[in-house]
Amino acid sequence: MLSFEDYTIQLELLYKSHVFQEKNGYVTHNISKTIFIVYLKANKRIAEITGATIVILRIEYSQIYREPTLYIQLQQEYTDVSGFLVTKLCVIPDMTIILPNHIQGSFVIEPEQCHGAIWWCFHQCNTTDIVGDGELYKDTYLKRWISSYIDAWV
Amino acid sequence: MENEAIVSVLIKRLKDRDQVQEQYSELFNEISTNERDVHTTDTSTTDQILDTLKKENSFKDQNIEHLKERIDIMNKNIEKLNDELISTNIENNILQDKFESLNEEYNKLVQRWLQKVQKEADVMNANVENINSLK
Amino acid sequence: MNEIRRLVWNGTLNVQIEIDKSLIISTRGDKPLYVNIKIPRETYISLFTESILHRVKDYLRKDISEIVTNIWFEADGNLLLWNIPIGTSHDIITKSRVGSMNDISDSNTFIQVWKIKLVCGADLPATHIPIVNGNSQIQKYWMHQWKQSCFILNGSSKGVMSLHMNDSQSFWNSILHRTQDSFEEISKKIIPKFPRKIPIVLHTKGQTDSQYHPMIVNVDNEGEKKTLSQLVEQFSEANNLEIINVVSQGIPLPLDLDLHFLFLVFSSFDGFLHLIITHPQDTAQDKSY
Repeated sequence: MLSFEDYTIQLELLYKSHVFQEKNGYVTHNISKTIFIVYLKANKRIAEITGATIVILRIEYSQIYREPTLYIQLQQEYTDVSGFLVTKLCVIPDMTIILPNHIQGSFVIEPEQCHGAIWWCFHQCNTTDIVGDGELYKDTYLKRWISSYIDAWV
Repeated sequence: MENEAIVSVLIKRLKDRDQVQEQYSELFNEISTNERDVHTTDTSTTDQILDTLKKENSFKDQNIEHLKERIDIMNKNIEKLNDELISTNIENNILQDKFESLNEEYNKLVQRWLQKVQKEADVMNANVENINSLK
Repeated sequence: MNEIRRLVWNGTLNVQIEIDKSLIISTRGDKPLYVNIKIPRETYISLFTESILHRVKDYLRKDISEIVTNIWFEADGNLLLWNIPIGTSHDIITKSRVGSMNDISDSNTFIQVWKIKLVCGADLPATHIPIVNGNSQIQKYWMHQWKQSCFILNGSSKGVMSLHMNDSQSFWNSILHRTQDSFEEISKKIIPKFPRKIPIVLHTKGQTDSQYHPMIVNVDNEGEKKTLSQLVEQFSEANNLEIINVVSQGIPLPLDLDLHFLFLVFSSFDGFLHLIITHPQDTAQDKSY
């Protein structure tokens, strides 16, 4: 569990540390006080399984669970009949297939409405069990959360 | 508000709500979430034929979509050809005009040349006559 | 209290569903095709998609299984989100509400019908959660709602996570087969006697996609129970709105109701209390009641 105040502080630190901006396949990002959105080129594994070319990560705070929450969208870019480059949302029956086999069982990913669009949400109910919330390591909560929820598959 | 009083108010309002819905509600059938299962057990021949025909139909629908796309492309090609035809026609007209004016000019030239040759011949003839008369 | 629960659970809507013309065989001409059904207020409408289509299957151009993932519902041109109770959607969208039969001048000819459309298309609306796995996907979504509700009520989702396999299946079956007793029996295991917070979803009248999830502390520092009017005040101050009335389960609510009590009697099958707030610019109907 992470308080909202600590979340905003750690999110800003995360942004300033440029971990996403320096990632392989980084395309662009969007940041506000509470939401961090990162666009990445889909890695080979994800592209092969789903046909997606772009992965969008959205880190947000859940007031209900008092946890950081990861939403994702997969998009496919293609040129239409008139020659324009357009993107299409990839709808996949079971989103966990984008995760490597050994962690597929750890996460539940389901579609949800979120700010006027559909995003696939990594369910938050076992976040604390995955990340661990010892008081001593409180300051690195978001960092550890990222390594479990994002670095493990992106 | 007293608890019992609240409960009776809410019950009254809910019952009023239901009474409004019940008016002529016999026109609306109850529905369950699994009606498909109840009926699929009797698969008569007509149903089977219907299923096959529906599949065929949607296959044909796809075909129509593809053909429509092809028609679109063909239409675009026809448009292009039409444009080309018009431009070659215009070119042809211009060339025709040019040809006619050149032809006219040519004829004029031939006329002038003949006149010139005639004049020369006349002069020569006159000279010959002069010489002969001097003899 | 049980009487109210029973009325809430058994509430129905008369619905006339117009089937998308692109789904119908051409020999019917241009005549619209309707399915008239009585649908429970406390359910997700998408659980009925196949049954509705089944009623008109002889007129369909395609096999139901082929089109079912491309279907959504609309009312007055607005998308109906399948993932909120259909009764709530109805209360959000319908402009005028008839309070009781006494309000009607000619009760012989009066009939209450909600007209909605079943639409099929290749491009799904942006806020429609695509249903690619049929009822099992809907079940998962619903379970997740209960996990959230349980987390708000108890401070952890364990109440739902630790349900016995049989229990969680019969919990879902109670929704599918409309068996109130087994629903109440299992939801009692999740809902504590003294909840920490109360899970509420606020909807704005007329706007089908506006949802706001407040968590209301059951008892404040002084041991006072929170009332509906406190929630309304809090919300209208935060959003600078004048709120006229609050509707739930098709009826306007007295504002001095205790929220915990309201949750116990009016909460929906997804573990949340759905409330619809009405502004002055909305129809005056609710005000006069």
